[in-house]
Amino acid sequence: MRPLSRREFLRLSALGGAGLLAAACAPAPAGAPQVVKETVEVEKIVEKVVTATPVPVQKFPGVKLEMIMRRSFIPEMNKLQENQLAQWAAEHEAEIEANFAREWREMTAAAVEAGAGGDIAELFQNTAHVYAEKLADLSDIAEDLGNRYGGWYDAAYQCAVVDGVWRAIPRAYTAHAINYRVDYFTEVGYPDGCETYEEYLDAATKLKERGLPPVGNTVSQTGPNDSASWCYSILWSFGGREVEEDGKTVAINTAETRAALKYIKQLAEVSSPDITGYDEGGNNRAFLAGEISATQNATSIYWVAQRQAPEVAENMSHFRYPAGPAGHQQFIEMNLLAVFDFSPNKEAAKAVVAWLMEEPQLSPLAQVGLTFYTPMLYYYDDLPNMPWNIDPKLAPLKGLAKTGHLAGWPGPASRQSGEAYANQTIVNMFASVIAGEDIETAVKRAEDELKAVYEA
Amino acid sequence: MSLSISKSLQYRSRRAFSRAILIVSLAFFAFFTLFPFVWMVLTSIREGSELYQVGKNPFAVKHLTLQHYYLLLTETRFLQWLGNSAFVAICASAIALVVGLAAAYSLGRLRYRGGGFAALVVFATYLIPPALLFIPLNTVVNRLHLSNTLWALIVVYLTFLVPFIAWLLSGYFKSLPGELADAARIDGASRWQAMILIDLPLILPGVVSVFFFAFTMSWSEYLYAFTFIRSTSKLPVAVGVVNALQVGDVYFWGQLMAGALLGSIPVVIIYSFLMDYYLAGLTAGAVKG
Amino acid sequence: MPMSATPVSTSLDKDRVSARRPGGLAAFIENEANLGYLLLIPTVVIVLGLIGYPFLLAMYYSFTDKVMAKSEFSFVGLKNYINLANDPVFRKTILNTFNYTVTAVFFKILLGLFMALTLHALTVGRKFFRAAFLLPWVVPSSLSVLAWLWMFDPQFSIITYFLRSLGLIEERIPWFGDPTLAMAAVQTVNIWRGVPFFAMIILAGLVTVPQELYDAATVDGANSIQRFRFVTFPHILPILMVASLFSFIQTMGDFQIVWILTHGGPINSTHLIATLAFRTAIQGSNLAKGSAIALFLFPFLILIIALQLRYLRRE
Repeated sequence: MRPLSRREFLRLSALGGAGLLAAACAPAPAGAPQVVKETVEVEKIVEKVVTATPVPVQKFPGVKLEMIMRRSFIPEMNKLQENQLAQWAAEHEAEIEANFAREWREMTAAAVEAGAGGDIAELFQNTAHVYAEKLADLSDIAEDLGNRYGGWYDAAYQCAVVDGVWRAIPRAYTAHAINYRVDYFTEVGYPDGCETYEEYLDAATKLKERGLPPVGNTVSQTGPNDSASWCYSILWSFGGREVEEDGKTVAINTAETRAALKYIKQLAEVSSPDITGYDEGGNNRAFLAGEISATQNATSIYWVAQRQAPEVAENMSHFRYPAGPAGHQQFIEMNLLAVFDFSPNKEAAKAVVAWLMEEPQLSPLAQVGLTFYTPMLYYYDDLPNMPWNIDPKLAPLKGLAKTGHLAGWPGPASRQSGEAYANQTIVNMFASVIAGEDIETAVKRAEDELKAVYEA
Repeated sequence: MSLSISKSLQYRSRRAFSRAILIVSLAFFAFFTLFPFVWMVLTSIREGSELYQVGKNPFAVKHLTLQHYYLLLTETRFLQWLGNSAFVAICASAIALVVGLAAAYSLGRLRYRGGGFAALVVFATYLIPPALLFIPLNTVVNRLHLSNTLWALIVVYLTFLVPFIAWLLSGYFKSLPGELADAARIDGASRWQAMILIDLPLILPGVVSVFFFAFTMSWSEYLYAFTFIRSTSKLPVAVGVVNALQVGDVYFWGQLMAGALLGSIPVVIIYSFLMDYYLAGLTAGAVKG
Repeated sequence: MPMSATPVSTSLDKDRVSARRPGGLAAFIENEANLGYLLLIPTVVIVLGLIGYPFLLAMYYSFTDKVMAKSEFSFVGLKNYINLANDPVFRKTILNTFNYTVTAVFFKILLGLFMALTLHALTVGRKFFRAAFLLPWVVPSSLSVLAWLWMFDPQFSIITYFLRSLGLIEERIPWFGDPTLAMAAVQTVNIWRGVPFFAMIILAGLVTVPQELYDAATVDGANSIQRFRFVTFPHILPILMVASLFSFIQTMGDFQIVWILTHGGPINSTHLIATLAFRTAIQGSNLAKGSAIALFLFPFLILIIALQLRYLRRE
């Protein structure tokens, strides 16, 4: 990483994420004077103090809340949230200790199982279903937010509603898209990216034929998030599924699954040979180094490119995952806020969660988050200051949650679908076919693994 | 005459040969053990953008910078983590040493009904992997009201430190000649006095060595630390550095390596000073274990 | 046992002491067994409370259908174990663990021996190299393993760069993309970390070999290999056995290296028992199954201890 001093940091962030805001307002090409102006913008977003506080503030004097939060790779996101929470604490005469941790999932698991430790946690994927028994009912907050902000995406209900009760508030999803080199894709005839998986294969083939950097879509156990996003999406787009809608009957052994596997095999033949070895950052680094022309990722490549490899940033863009025979089906990564049922300060905790979900708090987070954190409420789709409405290169990421699903779809999100996801059964099925195993064996093994989870 | 000359030649060439082997072998081990550190140092003192250059000589450092170290010390709570690690490692090792030493004396020096069985159990407990225990242990920690405190780690580290120390030191006590203590007791010393004044000083090198072994284990522990500590301000350095600097798919390599190097220095210093004790201790205990 | 060497003196001892110190704690601990039990109490408390209880809980879970966060669960007997026996991933994991442990320990012993002999033969700079070579062992592995992660990077691997510069390979090597290479890579890191431990222990043993033994062997016409075979090796064998036992146990229960480097991949080819247990219990929230997996370590470990104890008794 390039070392960043604080000032440099702000300047760079200005070039990236939120600074795009200013870039869009001013059509003039980005120059040095403008950078200074953008600095102010970012500072405003991160340090912003919201003045319009709802009038009758219920105070929580002496209450101390502890939060287990996901640490973002974007430092401003953590900073922003810290500032927001400090503000809430000051206004409500309470104390908040927010811990942004890389191991936030394991920490939450330990707290939930012990029934103690912390008041609020940021949940990942479908863990609201797993931990439901230990989570407070947040239905009133969720319904209120839905009413005031244009309603929730379907995926929000899928991940947060357990037996009719909202056990968490879906704060944001992380959408993956194809990050691609516009220059190389233009050479092979796809300047705006690919609509279908067939086109993508065609583009990949031509890239390889012409000796251009190949595509490199991670399919590896070492990069669980990127790989799951890619493999589940392909499986679904080809009409495959791991389990029926009842969430019990394993349904992986189908012609559709085989078609998806056949596709990944063909694609792998014209891809970078490294795809089965990438970790979460491997595809990022390969892309930034100009070694590959495309990969699936959230916007972290773009974020780093803007800071360390401006020429790559300029030459890259995004397009949403292609569509398959069964349409465009997208795997999305969920981030939810939950209140532990065992928290001694449930009322205060719920108040914090509700407050964080209001526009003055959520909107800057989405801005700084550069689509890494995209709200699950329709209201934000067309909000002018959202990254996807400012930067044309991020526009394809708009509203991805509409066709977004969680692991286990079309079965309900459940503990079982979470276990299958953790086992990386789908990813490994794809990876083993790429490694040369025949499709029948791979499908059969995946079926056995899934049955051990769903039908045990 | 000629025979002895050829012999001495043979001897000399053999010496040269073994010297050559020695140098080759030394070079190999130096490279094998130290290269990762060389690479860490190189990564920590160059600009981040230099890391991702394909096809260029990776050793050609264009811009030297101490930025990573500066940021590590100013932008993260590195020094605090260092302090936490030191506190936890010293307390856990010290407590474990007292408890383990007592057990070691009991198991290694005294004979009573059930002693052999107890020794076996203590030893067997050392084998249970942390990956198995940490969920139920978390419950225990909560019941002790230690959740999210450094004392949680100290208590939990006893689970692997005490059996280890008890087992290793009991070997020492077994290896001690009994005559000294016997003589002291005949002269009127109590059993307690014999233990404290006679036997204990004899195994002091072992005690020192075991203490540092325990210190290192505590300093490096990772799994318990990242599940039992939630507050960033209370993390030990082994977790704090990773936690702060590797997030999702972005690795802050320069700072990570800087942190890894700085985080290792205290242990390295301790070892370089007390190496001889450490080694002497290791042997005596292990041989008779 | 020195105390029981001469029963006469012991009884004599007792008489004297009881004559001089009547009653109280002092008298109580004058009894060998009493003192023995007393000194053991803190350890017993720790073992029972912090290891025994969680361990039994884990064992209990393995016979139930306990999942995370659910307070209700029922007894299912051996079902988890039977399911595991039929689970291809689990079977692969057992083989992986075995392969990982045996290979890594073998190389740790071998290289550790060579490193120790090298250090022992050094006449200058021994202290320096001894301290330097110990680095991999003392640096927290969560940090040093990250350095290895960077060194095994598919694009920017410095190892690949070396191999290429030496002309040994043409193409890049996807270290963690290939099952065999990935296993070799995680083993290498484990070996790297463990060799100094073996070397220092063996070195400590070498230092104690009496010079007269070597001299006698030389007089008898032994060459250097024979001297090693008949003098050095027998002398360091006991210590080597103990170190191996430790290493076997530590290696078999290894978690961090694999977790950070490969997550058990590719295609589960580097999963070890501990990583699979963690994945199943924590990430997969299936505590019952995860516990059953972790408990599979136990029979192996018992076996190793049994062998070790037998060896030590023979000594």
